Amino acid sequence: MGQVIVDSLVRGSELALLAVGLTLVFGVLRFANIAQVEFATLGAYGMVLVASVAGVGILLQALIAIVAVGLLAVAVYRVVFVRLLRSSAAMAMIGSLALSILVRAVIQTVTGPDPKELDLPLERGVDIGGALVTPTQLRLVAISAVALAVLIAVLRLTPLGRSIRAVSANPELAAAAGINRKRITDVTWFIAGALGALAGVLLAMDTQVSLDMGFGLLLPVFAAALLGGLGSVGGAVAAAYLLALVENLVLKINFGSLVGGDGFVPVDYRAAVGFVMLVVVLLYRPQGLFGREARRA
Amino acid sequence: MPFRHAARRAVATAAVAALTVGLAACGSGDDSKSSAAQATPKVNPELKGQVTIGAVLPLTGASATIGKDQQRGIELAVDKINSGGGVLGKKLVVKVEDSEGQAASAVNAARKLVSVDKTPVVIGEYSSGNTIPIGQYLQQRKVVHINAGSSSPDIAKIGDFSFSVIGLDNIAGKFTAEKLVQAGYHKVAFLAPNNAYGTGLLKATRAALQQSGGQIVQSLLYTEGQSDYRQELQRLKSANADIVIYSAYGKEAATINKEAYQLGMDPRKFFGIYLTMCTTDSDPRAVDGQQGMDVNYIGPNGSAYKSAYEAKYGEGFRTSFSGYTYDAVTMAAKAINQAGSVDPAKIRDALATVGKRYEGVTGAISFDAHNQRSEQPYLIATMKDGKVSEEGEVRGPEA
Repeated sequence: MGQVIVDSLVRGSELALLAVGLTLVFGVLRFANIAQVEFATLGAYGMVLVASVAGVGILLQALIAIVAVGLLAVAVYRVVFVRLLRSSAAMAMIGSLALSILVRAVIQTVTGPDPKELDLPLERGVDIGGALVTPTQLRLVAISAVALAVLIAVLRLTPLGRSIRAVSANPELAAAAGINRKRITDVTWFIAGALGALAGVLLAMDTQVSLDMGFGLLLPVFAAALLGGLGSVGGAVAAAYLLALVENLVLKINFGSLVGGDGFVPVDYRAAVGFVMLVVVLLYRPQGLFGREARRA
Repeated sequence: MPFRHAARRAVATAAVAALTVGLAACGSGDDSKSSAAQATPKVNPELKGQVTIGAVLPLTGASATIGKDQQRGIELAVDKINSGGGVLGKKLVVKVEDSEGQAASAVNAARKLVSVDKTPVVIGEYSSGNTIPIGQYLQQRKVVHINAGSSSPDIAKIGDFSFSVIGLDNIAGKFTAEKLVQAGYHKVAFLAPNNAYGTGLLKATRAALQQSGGQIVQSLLYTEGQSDYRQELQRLKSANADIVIYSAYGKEAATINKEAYQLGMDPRKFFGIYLTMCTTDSDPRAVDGQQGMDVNYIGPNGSAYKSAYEAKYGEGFRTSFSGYTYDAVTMAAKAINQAGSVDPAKIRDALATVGKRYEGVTGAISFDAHNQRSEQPYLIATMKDGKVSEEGEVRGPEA
């Protein structure tokens, strides 16, 4: 059981960072950015790149990659999505799918399809209450918890955060109150890009860097954002950890023992867990588990 | 304010530019530095014109390390042939295309070799999941296919244009099962990729184990290209088997071995099928003491090949697979000479004759009724300090 909790915290941290970025952008612009998960891929490859050209410590490598992807996210918004959003949110979403494919194609063309490893020492897991967890995984969970806490604090306590929430709640009213929507949108994209890149960097440190590392998370990230109620940051975080927990429970429980044998759900079906949860929630609670208001998209 | 606007746009542009340039730099990092050949024999100046055959290899992707080693075998064979009589009095050229380790790209590469370069023979690939579609395509186009790295038993079913110079897994599974049971391992857990190779290997190993008195208590076929294999490993761990038999492509195996180490699993309780494939990209500490089987690097007549390899690349064999592409090229060259033409159907018939008995650098090659190598020498090996060390027998569970 301890292992289930550890695995869920690791997985949940990765999903939460990406789901929050997705939900923030949705809040401000009312469109779901499929390319959000590619910010993770870009962050990880960015770190590989920084490591290969600059002799700086791992912390600085990660920071450079994260800031660069944040800026790239703003640029992508300005260049691509501003125009697409003029026609419709659906157009922007399709555009984001295309962008997602494009990002992977460009990375593959440039670096080749080989998975890459960051140059980190091999670690033995330490035993915590019967569960094995590596120091890197502990760091991963802690860093993402801190990042999410800071984000929530900024949203709740600072004027900038209030402006983001105001635009999210009612763009017209926010504009009437003198909030610069363009600036708020830029900031939101930067946060979404940076959080996505952070997820990618952490995932890279824990496992490896590969082309599909972001895209492979698309389904659970969308599931978490929708389960949490699109636009709700706290909801997305809670849903991400909950989804990770359910995924790991489903994979760990020996369903066969109910009928006196051995029968586990195949590991490949992990993505199906999020999908099933999503369908059930959409049927019975379309505003999401933690959403307060009716669906507005 | 126009000034601020311009400044922001500049920042955005710079970010895009930085990332693009940066990614470009990423790519140039890991290319092999060893291709500066020091000991290439001179091309015989009397050879006029050229004969081109093709090869499709995983030069990038999870099996890239092995693909590049396969390419070395080809280069050495070409050097050898062109320093002598060549092929039909002409220079032999082997055009190598990258499969990226993916079936779709592999077939595209084969298609290009056949339709653009008009090669009568195509060697390839490494992974059975890619070799079979290439073979089927070549069979349709009536072009000779030589498999020099894959081992799925399904390869024998491709057709009369398809040859294998490496033994298939019905032989490998039997060898592994017998050796493990002899050494005292009976309860076995199994992990392999979910593709033609993995399913074929599982079937062969399970059948052979049952015959020798062992059994598979947990079998898992993993989806290729995941970034994380912890769930699979935890299941293997909880199966409490005597030993884990596994097989995985270079870079995937690296992640699997790393995570097994993190989960406190003992590398000494792992047995790699095609051990050099499983360990070539792995952290040496994560695989220390790991046992495994592999195809023989070289046979009794292979010592000249070994020295040529070491002279040209300045290191010992990287994986066990380069000798097989070497044999594939030299056999193809001999068959083309015997056929006296580059017509694929004539080469096919000549190759079947050559393959009645051929002394390759990987040992004696003789084809069975389906043009598959009928005898394949294997070896048992252990990983010690990052090096493969050959052993006579499998180390028992108590040792």
